Amino acid sequence: MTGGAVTAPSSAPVSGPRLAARFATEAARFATEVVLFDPEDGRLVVLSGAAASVWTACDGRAADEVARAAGLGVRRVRRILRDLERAGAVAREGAGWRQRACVEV
Amino acid sequence: MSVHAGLRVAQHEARGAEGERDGVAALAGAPGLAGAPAEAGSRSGPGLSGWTVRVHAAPGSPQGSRGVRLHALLAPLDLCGLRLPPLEVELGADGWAVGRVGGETLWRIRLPETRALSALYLSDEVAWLPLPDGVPDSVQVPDGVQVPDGVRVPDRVRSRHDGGPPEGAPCAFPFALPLAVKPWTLRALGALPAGEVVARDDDVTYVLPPRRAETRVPVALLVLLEGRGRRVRLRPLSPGAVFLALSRQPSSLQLARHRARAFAGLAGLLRTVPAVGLVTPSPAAGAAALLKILP
Repeated sequence: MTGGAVTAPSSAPVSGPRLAARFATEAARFATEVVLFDPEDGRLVVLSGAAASVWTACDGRAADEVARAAGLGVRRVRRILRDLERAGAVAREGAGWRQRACVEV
Repeated sequence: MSVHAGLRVAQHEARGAEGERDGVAALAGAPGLAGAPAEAGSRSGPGLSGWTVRVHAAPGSPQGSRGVRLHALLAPLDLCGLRLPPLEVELGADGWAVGRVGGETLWRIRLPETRALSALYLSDEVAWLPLPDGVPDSVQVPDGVQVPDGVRVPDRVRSRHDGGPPEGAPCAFPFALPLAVKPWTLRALGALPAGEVVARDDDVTYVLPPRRAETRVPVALLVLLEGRGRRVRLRPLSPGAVFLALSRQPSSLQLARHRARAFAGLAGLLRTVPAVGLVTPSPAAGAAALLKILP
């Protein structure tokens, strides 16, 4: 999976519009993954590899700063950010990107 | 007398290193999990996980000694729960104990004169009764228990005993499901399996096995059954893969009231315990393969 594409188990297809809804999450960090969970409706999003790094760096920085922090190319980071936005994991904040409100467990 | 017990539940620290591949795997709908909270914490005196318990009784009164006994009973008691409000237990001179949370009376129970039955705790649908060793792990709720309207007390409550793995170790809280013995199974067996018949439903008999874990047990490995195959295959699973796989099964994460706690519990477990997927031609073959890799 390159560019942080949104994927889902075949038994549970994911649609962009549905995922674009507000995503109040809890987050669990692991060595190379971040698992986001919405206790309200039970939605689950797993970020692995570069996507996890990009999500971690989304503290209001612009895309190029996120790329620098994550050690990735800007074009690749922009693709990942779009996927994360569709998944409801990050939101635009002015010129920057920020994680949706979440509590780490 | 005032006994103040508490436990700070510490979060496992496992900050992520950067990965090498991209990936956002998402699941809309019903996720799931089967696991128990793995807690690491530092105790300050006797405590219940996530609970602050205050026991009150008049100094020098018989209830004071009951308070001491209750205090001793609470020490090994371990409840699954986070961010719970303080539980006030008042041992009254009238021989009744009253449990309150936030000023609201949750239960009243008559204090027995000779037995160590000291308190009943309600947590969601589960009632917990601290009992000394040597008594069954499930007992009938005594007649003396009175609860206000709207609070449901099950007919039987589970007790907790001391022992089990060290504090902070990943562990599971076992529960036993009765075997549903169907007529054709009974014909094949010739007799019911050993155990206690706990219910009958038409021609199905439910038997509770006699050998059951009585306390929490350590977890060394999380195994996901991935179907049958001609050969035994084991593959390591990442925490995310476990979450996604379990999300397709009935579990605590599908129960709205338990989702947050279940998520935190599985996350804590997966930070300390490896997970594997198992494909096997038979349960026996799979068990043999697992025994080889268990620490």
